[in-house]
Amino acid sequence: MHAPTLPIAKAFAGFLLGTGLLALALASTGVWYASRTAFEARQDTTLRDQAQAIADAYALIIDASNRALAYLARQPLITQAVMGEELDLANASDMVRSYDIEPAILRISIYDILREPIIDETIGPNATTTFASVVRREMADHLFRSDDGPRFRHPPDTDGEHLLIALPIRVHGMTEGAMVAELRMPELASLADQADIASIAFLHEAHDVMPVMSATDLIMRPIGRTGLWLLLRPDRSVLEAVREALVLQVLAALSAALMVVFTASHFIGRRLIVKPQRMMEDSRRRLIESEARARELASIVQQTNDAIVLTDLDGRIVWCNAAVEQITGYSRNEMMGRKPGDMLQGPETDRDTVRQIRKALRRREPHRTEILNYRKDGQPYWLDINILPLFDETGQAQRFVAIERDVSEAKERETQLSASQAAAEAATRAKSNFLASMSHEIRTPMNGIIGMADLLTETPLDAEQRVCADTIRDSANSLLTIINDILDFSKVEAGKLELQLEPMNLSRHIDDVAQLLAPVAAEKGLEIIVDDNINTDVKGLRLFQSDTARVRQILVNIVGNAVKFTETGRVVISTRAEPRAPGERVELTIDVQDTGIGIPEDKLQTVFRAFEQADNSVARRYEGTGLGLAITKRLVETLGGEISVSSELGKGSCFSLTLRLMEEAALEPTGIKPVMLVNKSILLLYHDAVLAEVLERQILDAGMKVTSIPNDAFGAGYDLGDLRFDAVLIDEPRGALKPETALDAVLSSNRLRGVPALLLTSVNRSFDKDRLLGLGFAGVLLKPLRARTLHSQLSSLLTGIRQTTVQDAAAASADIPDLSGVRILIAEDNQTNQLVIGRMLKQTGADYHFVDDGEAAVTAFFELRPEIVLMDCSMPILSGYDAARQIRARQCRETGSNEAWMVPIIAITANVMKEDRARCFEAGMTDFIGKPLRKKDLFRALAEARSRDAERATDRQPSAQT
Amino acid sequence: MRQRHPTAKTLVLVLCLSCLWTPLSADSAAPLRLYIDADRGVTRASAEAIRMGVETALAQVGHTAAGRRIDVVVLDHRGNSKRSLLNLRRYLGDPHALAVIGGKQSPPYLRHNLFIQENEILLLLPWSAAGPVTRPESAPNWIFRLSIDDTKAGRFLAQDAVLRRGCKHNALLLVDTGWGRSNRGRITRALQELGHPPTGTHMFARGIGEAEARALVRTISASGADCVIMVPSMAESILLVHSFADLAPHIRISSHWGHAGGNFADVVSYAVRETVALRFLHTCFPFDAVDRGPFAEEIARSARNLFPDRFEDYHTLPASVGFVHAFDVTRLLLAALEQAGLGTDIIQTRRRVRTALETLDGEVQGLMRVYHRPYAPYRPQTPDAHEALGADDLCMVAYGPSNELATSFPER
Repeated sequence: MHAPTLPIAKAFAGFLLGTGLLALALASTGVWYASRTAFEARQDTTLRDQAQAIADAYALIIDASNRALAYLARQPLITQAVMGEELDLANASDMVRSYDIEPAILRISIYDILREPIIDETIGPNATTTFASVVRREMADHLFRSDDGPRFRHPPDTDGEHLLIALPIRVHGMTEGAMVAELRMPELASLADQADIASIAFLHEAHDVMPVMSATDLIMRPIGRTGLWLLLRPDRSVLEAVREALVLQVLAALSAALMVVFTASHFIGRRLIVKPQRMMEDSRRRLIESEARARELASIVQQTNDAIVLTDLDGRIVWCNAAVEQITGYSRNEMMGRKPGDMLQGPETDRDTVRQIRKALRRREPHRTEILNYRKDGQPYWLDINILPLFDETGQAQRFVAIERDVSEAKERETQLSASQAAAEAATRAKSNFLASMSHEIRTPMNGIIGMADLLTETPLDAEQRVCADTIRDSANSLLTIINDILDFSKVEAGKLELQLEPMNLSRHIDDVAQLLAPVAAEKGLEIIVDDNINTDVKGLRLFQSDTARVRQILVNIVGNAVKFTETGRVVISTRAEPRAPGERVELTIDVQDTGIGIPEDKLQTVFRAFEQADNSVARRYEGTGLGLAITKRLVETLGGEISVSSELGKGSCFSLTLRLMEEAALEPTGIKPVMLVNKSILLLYHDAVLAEVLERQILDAGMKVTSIPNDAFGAGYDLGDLRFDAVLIDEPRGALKPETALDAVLSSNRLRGVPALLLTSVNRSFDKDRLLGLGFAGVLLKPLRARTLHSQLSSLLTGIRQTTVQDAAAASADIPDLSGVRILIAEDNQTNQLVIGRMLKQTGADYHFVDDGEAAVTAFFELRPEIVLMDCSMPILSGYDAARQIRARQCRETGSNEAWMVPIIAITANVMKEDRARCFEAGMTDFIGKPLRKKDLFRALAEARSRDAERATDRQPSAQT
Repeated sequence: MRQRHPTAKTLVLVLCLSCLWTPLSADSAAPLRLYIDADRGVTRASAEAIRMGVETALAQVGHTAAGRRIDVVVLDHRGNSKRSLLNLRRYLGDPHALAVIGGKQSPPYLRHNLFIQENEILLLLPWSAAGPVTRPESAPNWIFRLSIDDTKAGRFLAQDAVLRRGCKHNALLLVDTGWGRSNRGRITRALQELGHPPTGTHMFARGIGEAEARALVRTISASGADCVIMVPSMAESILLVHSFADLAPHIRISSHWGHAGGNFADVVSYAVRETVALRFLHTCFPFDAVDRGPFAEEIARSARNLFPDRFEDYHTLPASVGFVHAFDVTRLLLAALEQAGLGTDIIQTRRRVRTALETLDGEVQGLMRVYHRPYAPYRPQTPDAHEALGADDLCMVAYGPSNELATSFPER
């Protein structure tokens, strides 16, 4: 089918190609022959000029030399020598040798009448001569034979640079001797170098066979009147090469031009000749193809399960396929010429849909919709209908085609599905709400149980009673944890979690969490090591925007989990921050690596699922709801982060938490002057290499130097060489090794005499700080050790300046605060809780009063003027929130300033969710204690309230003076 | 050049005659040849005079001696010793060549003396004056002279200058050739013996130009000389005499006879010659005397017959001393040949003639004198054995106003 196209295209291309090649051939031949004459003429002219110049130069040199030689030949010394004066001969030789007046003369030989050479001298220091003595003598002989003036000779076998000149030595008109001189013609060298000269020859018209003057390829020039001729034979091969290059260039240029012409011709030709031909072929082919396709389509249309209906522009059926009959129950004949809508629509058919279809038909637009139709037997069915207008070539709609599919079943399924989904969602919401309210309801009685159990343990008990009390308390705590988990989870499930973004010091929270879990870890003999790489700058701590409480919750979960599932070894919390461009989120990664039991590979995927622990047997060993990680994962995702786990069974797991947070511009100051520590040298005696590495980094970060030696390697006789130290940091040894032993080794070392030693230890049951200080330690540092604690401790130790640190404050708050005489108002409706709080406050020496509702609280506040208020949030008559609000409002009215705000109101609530806290602060409360109330929390809140009070007092002092 | 043609023609004629002769007669009857080896260039006059002397002498005997015709072969050595050598070789290659009559120049025979002696070239010298020529280191001596002997000329010149001309300050001016150099010592010694050592000795090369000649004259003039004793070659003497006349007319010149052989008188005018009172050495022959004796007159007539265009009289013949000496030496040779007779070959003949020359019997009438045993067998101890003339034969002459030789002249 394609056959006819190709010959035309090929013939056309062939014609163009042939024309091009013919043009190239003609052009190159023409250039080849035309260039020969021109080039050769040009070369000949040039060479003739050169030859003439050389010949002239030769003639000049020869003439000058001839004159010089003739003069020499006239010299009496020479003539006498020639005529046999023996004494003259020697003088004449000298004369000849020094006769260097003409540089061209290389050698002078003088022959006497006996044709014997009597003098033969080279002239000048570096003259090299080429003529054999035979040749010179021949010249002399010739001269004697026929004395007719100077003779010249270029031997045919030399390059022509050398020339022999012979002239008679005459005495009184008679030739008495012959002088034969060799001349060198320097000009010839330049000529001989010329590439386009094939050969140079010198001929003498009297002695050589002269070529015919008109001979081509030969340039002849007479050299003066010497009878010598310079013959140049041009080298045409150079010319040939040039001509070849020229022809090639012409060919190249012509080819390029022809290429353009060819291409243009080709395309124009195609357009004019080939393309129409081809288009005709193409259209015929398309026609055949479309016929075939049409046949295929027709059979497809006929056999498809989808109903296909063709209507005219009025919507009357002109054609339909077999499927239509099946779907509608009408025969094709019944339907022809009728409008489908009239036949098929029934009472339940949506009027709007019908209107839209009509509108689309009117506008000749495609339309797709679903419609309820009725079969001939009255049975309804859903139809997915796609109506398309068919246009002719002019763009005029000719027909409509409707492709219809029975979607009744799908429609039914969809309805069922949405119903069940709504039901499921409702159920989940109900469940979450139920759990939330249930939790709240459970927490209140739990408050009583835990508070009472706490108090009970502080009363005098016998051993059995104490066990019981402890069990009650522990069980209650466990239960509370479970309830908190469930509550959190349900809230997360219910999507009720709201984030409270604020500047967050991540490092502090990690330290706090480590601190929080330290006692548990210490009990198990575990190290918790914090390797903080976010804050390596000792001047300040970075602040990130996030939800502090949630991050803390996540950390407690992960680290707590790690401690929980680790029996021996350590838990390392390491952090790092990816550098980022300003304005972008910082990617923070927190890895919690434990040396615990690990997670089997096949369970790694499920650990974050709710209610699943890695192993059921494990679940039995490690109590818990199995909700922790699921909640954690949800929380992390809510915060826009990721959490992942990798693990090796029996070796440990690593949870990696990644958060992308915006960073605050400012740093939180640490209050440590790192300058003091710079260049101090620390000796670190360690037992755990990982901890040592972290400590080393912390030490180095402050500009100090560190030398690390394992505890067990360091003994009394350990050679420290020339090293000097400012302090020794001893990580508490494990096993048989006692801190005292290590200290003894330090104290007994000459190098370390007088160097203060710090002990790094864990708080456990045997911890006795005073005892350790008594042993001779200069200080005791508690693990997990924060970098700034280490820095501040070392600063104070090495400089004598004590710095306030967070740890000190924390340590202080652990004690029972001294609240003697401090007026405290407590609003609490629950009698159990009143009892618990009363018992707790009794230890502080505070002056406290209870009220049962909010209204009473407001009244009492202004009567008692308490210094601290404890306010339960959910109370009858007036809620804690409202009470606080009223108190604050009234304070403002009274004082006219915000000073009144400074009387702390501490909320006590079972509603520990974020939104609850925010509500408290909004109402004017200053702090927050969760239920069930724990003594530790209460004391902390009270202590902080007191210290803020003190700060305010000092802040006010200067202003009072002014 | 034109003058060469008659000579060449003569030569060709002689050769052709000898060629014709050869087939008709036996080889032994072929004519003997006398080679004349002289400069026919610059001192052509001397060569020509010699030839005329030889021819005249031969003519006296009808060109025949010892029963053989005697022919003359005239060769030209152009003053070039090498050419002379070529001539001598040619003589040696000629089985009929009896002897060589030398030309005016001494150098060829000084230079090739050994060659001559070894190859037994019978050489007769009617003019060459160089002392060593006739005095080889060993006998036999093949060279015979009938001319001035330089060994005596130097002393004669010095004595004449000092004693006769009264020159107190004599400068020596000598051509820088072997001849000149050999004269230098002798003249210097003679002047010293006379109590007037030379004011300066000046050598000049042959072929010097006018510039050098004038420079020499100025130097000599500056040296305070009042007389110059000159031993010149022909061409240079012309330049020098002119230069003296021009630059130092007060200086009188006594000259060896270097310029005697050429056309000196033609190119140097009488006025110039007399300006410098040029007198020169000569053998004593009364060229211009009124009464020269019947033999001389007879020979003159004979010569006039032989050479009607060129021989007028002795004193007008250029270089006439060559004629006189050559005539005399040819007479001696012919006498010797007659006395010796022919040998089996030319070598033998030459040897016989040579011996005969040394032992000539009787008297031979010559122009200069009647010769009685002119030569004696040579030994180094008898250096004058081959000298036909002696110091008594020396005279000073001048060119007269008509360029004739003048044996009597006023002294300035």
